[in-house]
Amino acid sequence: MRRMMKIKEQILIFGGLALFLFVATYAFWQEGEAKKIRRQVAKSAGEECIESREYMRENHMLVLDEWRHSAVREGDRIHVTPDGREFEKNMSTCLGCHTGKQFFCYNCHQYASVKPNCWGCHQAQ
Amino acid sequence: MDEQRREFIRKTGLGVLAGLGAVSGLFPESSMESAVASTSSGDSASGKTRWGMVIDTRKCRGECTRCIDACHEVHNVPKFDNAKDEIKWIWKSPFENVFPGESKQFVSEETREKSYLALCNHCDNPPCVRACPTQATFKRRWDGIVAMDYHRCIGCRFCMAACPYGARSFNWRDPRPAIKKMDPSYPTRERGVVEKCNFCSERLARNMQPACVEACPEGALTFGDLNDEQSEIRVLLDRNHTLQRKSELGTRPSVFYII
Repeated sequence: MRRMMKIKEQILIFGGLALFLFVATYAFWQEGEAKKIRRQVAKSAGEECIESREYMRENHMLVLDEWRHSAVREGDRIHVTPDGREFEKNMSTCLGCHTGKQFFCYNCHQYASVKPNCWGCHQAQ
Repeated sequence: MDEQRREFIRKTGLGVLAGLGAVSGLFPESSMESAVASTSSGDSASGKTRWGMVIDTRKCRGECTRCIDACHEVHNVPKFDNAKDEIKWIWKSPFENVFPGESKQFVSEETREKSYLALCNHCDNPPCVRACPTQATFKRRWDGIVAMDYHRCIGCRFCMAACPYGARSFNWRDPRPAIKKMDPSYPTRERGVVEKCNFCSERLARNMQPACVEACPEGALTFGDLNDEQSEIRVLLDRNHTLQRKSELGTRPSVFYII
């Protein structure tokens, strides 16, 4: 009788452990790609961005940081791309093409759970 | 404690002190603080622009607030009703507040009654810049404007304590609900940062005069390059006796008053 109890207990313990391990590692069992989010790159496709899409996707925050530093502290307000096009270093330069901050910025930031506080001061026109 | 051990600790301590002293002597850059010799007559580097302003108080009408309204409108400056939350870039104050060091005996009635325009002096030797621990406020090398980078401001308010002119205001509350007419072309500020007059650097970049200068119906405000001898502002300074606010402090303000 006591032996039976022991086996029952063991089944409970190891079964529980296995269940716990399965639940805890469930996220890592998933295969496949990350969920695709709706892409909206620019309203007016007339002009190309200052850098390639891939570069901007990964480094837009560094570009903005660099722009702020050079425009505010060095007084250098014009960005010249390698192929010679000129852009004013200004948030509204970006928003001129990438309209609608809700869609353009929030789409990815929400997905990546990034919460920049640009719009606490800057205004989207 | 063992006598020998005590002696050893004492000597080590003295040695460290002596070493630090020698290092700060050899590298003066890294030593405590570098005091800048400041006199009220010192000239800033010539060849560069130094923006300044002359306020002709004889032309300024007491009740008119056109310059203040224009400035606060283009820069989205909020209007709070209680004095503690007040944000101001340019404002009017009685003579004894704007020029507390000037003579107080037998002051003319006009001087007593009138209010005088005050704004950030964009000092050539700005105390707020030295006080700022994050370099959020800094003097622009190329034109002498004392500017702010609100991204860096941590709201410690050292600059407010350092400024002898009270030219800085702190955002105790979210400013956005208190902005009467939002100008979408200029950012607002956030709760927790200090703000002040920027000499309309955003307009200067577009070759425009500051908003207050443009708005004055009497032409009482003159803006220009103090380092350019031919400029209108220098001609005015040559021809008139002018005052700087609290010039005895050696901050070398770039705003001058014709009384």
